[in-house]
Amino acid sequence: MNRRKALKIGVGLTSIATLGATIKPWFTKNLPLDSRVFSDMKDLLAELAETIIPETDTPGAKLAGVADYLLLVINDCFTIKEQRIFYQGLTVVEKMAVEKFGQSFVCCDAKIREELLTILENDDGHYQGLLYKIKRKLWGRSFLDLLKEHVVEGYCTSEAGATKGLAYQAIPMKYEGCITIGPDQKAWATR
Amino acid sequence: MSNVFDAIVIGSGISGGWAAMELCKQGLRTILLERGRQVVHIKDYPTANLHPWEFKYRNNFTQKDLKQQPIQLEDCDYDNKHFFVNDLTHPYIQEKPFNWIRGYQVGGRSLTWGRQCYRWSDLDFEANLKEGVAVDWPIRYKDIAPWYDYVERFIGVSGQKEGLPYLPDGDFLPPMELNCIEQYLAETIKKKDNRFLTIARIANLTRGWKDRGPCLSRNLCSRGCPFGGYFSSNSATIPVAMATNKLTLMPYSLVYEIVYDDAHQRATGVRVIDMLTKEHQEFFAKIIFVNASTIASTALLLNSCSNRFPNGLGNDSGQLGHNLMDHHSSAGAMGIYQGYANQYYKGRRPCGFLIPRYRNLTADEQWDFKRGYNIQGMGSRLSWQDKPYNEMGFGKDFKTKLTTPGPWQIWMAGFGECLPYYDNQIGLDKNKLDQWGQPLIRINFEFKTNEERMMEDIEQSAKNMLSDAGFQEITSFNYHRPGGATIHEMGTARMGTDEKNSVLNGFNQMHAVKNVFVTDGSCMTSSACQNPSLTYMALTARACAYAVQCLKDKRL
Repeated sequence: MNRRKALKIGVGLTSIATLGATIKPWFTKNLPLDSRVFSDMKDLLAELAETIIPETDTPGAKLAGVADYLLLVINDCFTIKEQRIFYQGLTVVEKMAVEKFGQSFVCCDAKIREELLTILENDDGHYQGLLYKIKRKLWGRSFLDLLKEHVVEGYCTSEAGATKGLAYQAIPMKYEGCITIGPDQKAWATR
Repeated sequence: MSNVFDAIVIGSGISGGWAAMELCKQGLRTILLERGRQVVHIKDYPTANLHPWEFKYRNNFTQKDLKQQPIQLEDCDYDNKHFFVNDLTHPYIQEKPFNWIRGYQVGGRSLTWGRQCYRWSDLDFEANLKEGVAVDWPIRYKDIAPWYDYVERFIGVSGQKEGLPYLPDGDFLPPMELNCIEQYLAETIKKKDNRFLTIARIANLTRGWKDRGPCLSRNLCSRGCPFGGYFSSNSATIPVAMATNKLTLMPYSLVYEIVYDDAHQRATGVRVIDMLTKEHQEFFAKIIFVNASTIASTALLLNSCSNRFPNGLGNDSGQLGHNLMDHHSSAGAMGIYQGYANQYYKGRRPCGFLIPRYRNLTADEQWDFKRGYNIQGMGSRLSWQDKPYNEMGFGKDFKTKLTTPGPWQIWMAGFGECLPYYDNQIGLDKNKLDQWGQPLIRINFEFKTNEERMMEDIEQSAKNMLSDAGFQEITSFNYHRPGGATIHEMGTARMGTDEKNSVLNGFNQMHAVKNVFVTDGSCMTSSACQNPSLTYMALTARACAYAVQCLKDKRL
């Protein structure tokens, strides 16, 4: 898995992040983090996921149970490096919320949450096109990259996301190569 | 149970299943030996009916998976990883990077194969002779054509006849449909370059066939199909063989030696180790079919030494283990097309399209590489799985973008021929043993200049086709994947006309041991660029008919 091997800590985040003392042994020993560390942050994960995919006329990330899925993936699928990036990212989000808006992220309203994520996206150096590709190649994926990928994946593969947010057919019966669609057509959940 | 049979078949994958079925149909009491566990059609497909949300980790591998299957996971998926081996339990030695992808179970990799079925033509069979590469094939298209017919009629292949001499048409079930972006590309490349784009020829059933199918367009084939919508040993050949009452199927039975009788100058049987109890056992038969898969079959022959054959069974030529090949499929291009916004597709087609070979079709073409490649690809509308498309933004607009069909894109890559090189080879390391006491296999393989040049041409020409058709944001790529990654490994016990420089004759029969036949990918003298399984099956059916005739004539 070259992508995983290539992971480095994103510079945008390391510049603002400071490591908490309690987490130090984990970093120095390069050991997987105790799963409770992330489960304690489940509310934050759920609100971040909902900010990325909010409830509209179809369910959002919360109703799709994305936070539970994220916890499983973080604990059992992430590399130690990815866990490290993720923990750092969550810490930074919370720190920014407290410092800039005087309250925890989960207490902020939707507008402030979006503002925070926008700051993060800009800080992340989300250059378009080639510049972005170069940055990613040099420094690997950022917290926001990882978060978004797995929120999207968690939502689109959930029952609520696949069947209500998207269109899902377990047994299509037949393939039709060209059909005419209207403006309300949902994308297929699976391919 | 008696340990004497008429025929022994080693390996139950795509070619072994065929050997067992053909020999049983001819009335031979046959034992089919498989090193892996039993997999019964439908019953043993644990993920076949699961919805995406029923997978605990959805489409991710866990760190534990990655530790156990670091090589296999390069080529398999979250929903079919149980049909691929544990790399820690089944180690091998990579002298150069080589992904050896294996499925140790009844049915082998026929459960997870790509199902593409393309015939070879004399352009392929004559190439070695015309170019002075390696040795000539002992057969031509006319020898195998009736057996392609025979195999296609049994497995059921859907496809479109195109009338191309270098990609002969078969006996097809109705083709699957191209979608509108694929039809558009087909029209433009026909107009511009007189190239063809045709729907994949695939062993998925577009109508019910031999009590199987039809395919219900779930595109979950490699989990095993509960509807029998595609061909596998498990769904097709093994049940038919069983129905003859001539078949004995023995899972967990690793054949580690073929026993040669110096006095009678023939193989008498095989030595087997039980994978669970590690007990040893022998079986005897008049004929032996070796179908353990490329590399494994040759390793077995190399491990079968006797006074007569100190360097491996039937290895008078010294060619056994050499000339390993694999197709390369690393290079290609993709692009976005603005248009057809009110067109979509319904259902999940289990295949893409094929652009048949267009290089070196005539001897006067001036390319800096020999042979050629075909292009395989697929058109679709961008969706949540296409990560770069979903990189920016969040909130309501992001969700809308995520859940509505994106612009059309085409992704396509070249599947290229690999020449047979003597020094691309496998061998045994008798100082390093696995837990069953068997020597580890060493693999020493690399793509060389001819393949590298071909990949450059694929990248350029795929890019040009998209650009000529007005695609945008075109990216060409060359992933430089190692050998084995296409899972088309072949060669190492090649067929040939001369026993001095080949292992098998024109009927896949060992030159030096007439009652041993090798009909899996090991037998290949060159690789062409077509997906090879159909050819293995046709060669197997043909060799079985020949072996049975020899037995009837008392020549064996």
